[in-house]
Amino acid sequence: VNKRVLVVDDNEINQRLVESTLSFAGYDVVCAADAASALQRIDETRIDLVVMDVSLPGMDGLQLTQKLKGDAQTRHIPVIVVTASATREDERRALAVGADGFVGKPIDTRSFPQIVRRYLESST
Amino acid sequence: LNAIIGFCQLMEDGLPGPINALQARYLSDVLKSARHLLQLINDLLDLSKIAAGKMELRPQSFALAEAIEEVCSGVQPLADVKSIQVTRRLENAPAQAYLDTGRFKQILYNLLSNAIKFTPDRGSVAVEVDRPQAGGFSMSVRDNGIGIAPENMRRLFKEFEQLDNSVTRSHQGTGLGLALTRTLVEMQGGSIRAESEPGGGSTFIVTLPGTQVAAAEVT
Repeated sequence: VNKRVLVVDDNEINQRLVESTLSFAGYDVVCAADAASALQRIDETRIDLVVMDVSLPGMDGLQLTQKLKGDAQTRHIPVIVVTASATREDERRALAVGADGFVGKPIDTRSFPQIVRRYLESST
Repeated sequence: LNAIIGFCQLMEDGLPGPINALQARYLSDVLKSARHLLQLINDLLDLSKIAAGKMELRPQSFALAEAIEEVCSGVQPLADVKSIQVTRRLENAPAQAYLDTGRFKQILYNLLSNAIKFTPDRGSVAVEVDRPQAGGFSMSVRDNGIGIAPENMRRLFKEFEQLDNSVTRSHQGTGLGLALTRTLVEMQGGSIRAESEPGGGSTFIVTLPGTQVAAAEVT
């Protein structure tokens, strides 16, 4: 059974790039453009890992991460926060809300699948 | 641009389907141009941030040799393409430096990628750190590349100057790297100079203050 990754990004093109990169690497990928639809996906299907963009309309990626990590039902799902603003301070903030990983944008299509695999492996 | 690079890489890797040799060459040209454009935009953004007084430095203590090693491994793929050896002599380096780590790495990255760019295949590039009497530390990047003519030395650190158009064409650069590097060095209280002989390679020497060096040695 393929691992299933949820990609949360409100930019359609970025979303498709991450989706393509991961599906070519053999993952099942589902997408969401905001927090509400992300929560709906998690509710209706098994999700093994979340790739989380920070700037989302409404509830942002960090708030959503905090919500997932505060819920006993979802706190086991590894969350990789992906953001264009990748300073130490941003990383500290992401880890503070419970993110498992932090990756600066742009993602490199050649190394990102390995990063995802590493977090999937360390979560099991 | 990042999406352009990303999707081109996926295609170049043949993931959506097989590509023929000509398509592969075009894709590789698109990728090269896109990466060049990305570098240009990033350098321009940095320079305009500096011009607007919005470039904030966040100095902190960090392990100097480790940071240098990290940048050297970062440029290794560039060096590998030309079978260039990147050697380092770091035994005189202070254990700790107190600077903006990211900007320090950017300075070294710019100097190293420049050196690699202007060094012929199977040449060598050397990074060396010393501690001059005056305090702080100096870091030099030496190549055995094409060198710089004396009359060109003073244009070296100016924006949009590339010394030789014919050279530029074979060594794609933005013409901004050294100007930006100089500004980043000076913003951290340091200085940069170059020594060179045409045909005899070039050495870029950065001198940076090491306000924490004494403290780091005491503890």
